[in-house]
Amino acid sequence: MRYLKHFFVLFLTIFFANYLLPGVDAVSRTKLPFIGGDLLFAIGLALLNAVVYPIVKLIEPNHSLSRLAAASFVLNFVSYALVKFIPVGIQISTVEGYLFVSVVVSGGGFLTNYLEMKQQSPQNLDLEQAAVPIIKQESPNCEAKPTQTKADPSGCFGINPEP
Amino acid sequence: MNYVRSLFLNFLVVFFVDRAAPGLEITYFEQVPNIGADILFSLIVGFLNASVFPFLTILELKVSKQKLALYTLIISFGAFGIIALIPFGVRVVSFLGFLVGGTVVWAVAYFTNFLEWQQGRNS
Repeated sequence: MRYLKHFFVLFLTIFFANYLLPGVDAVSRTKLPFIGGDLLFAIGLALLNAVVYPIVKLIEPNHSLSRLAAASFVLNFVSYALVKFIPVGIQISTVEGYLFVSVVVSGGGFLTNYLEMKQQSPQNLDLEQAAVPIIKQESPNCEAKPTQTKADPSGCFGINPEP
Repeated sequence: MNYVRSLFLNFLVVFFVDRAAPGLEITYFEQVPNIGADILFSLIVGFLNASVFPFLTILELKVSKQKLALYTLIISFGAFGIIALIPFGVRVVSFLGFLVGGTVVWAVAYFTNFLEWQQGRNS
């Protein structure tokens, strides 16, 4: 269910970016019942973006945020670079358009994958906070028996306090 | 955060429906051909739909599935009904546009408000 929700948000984000950002044109526009290349491209790229986190998790169980971000960015930059050579209903006319749309879609993809990661394993995001209770559990008596201080340390130096 | 997500999703859905649904026409600006006048319409309808649950909470009214469904239905179909009469960047040219647009926007609006309600109950 969560996967579907993320896929849906990504699909809409890609569709929005393809239509609105300068330097990118949807040449094969969807008007139902006609399904244009723009819709198929958005669905395909959203599917790919939505599986980034599961694949990263599968390849590397101890994955990091930077790895997730890198995977999202590489996927989208490569996809939009391929659009330049393969006609799929989207046309990129300027370099700025390519950079804009890739960054926007990568940002959206990263955000949804990050939310997925956070919901699945919140302990991965804050290891330090997660470690504190474990340390406390390992030594439960450390606070119960505090070190006793000497009331009068003067005896240590050979001084007799009593006359 | 939930509200922002809900607003974003509702806005995107209205934008998508305006572009892809049959029977709806968008007016484009001459200076900026990429940007249609549907953006403002999407923002307004998205905002209204995303605000149903927060408004019910602020007014301390009892939230129920029926209430959420009814209010989102009124906003969604009402918005498409209004643009059928008064063009507002987007124009409804056939009954199918009104029906498809209203239904899709209503379904997503109900879903987002319902999820927000459920998350509020669980937390």
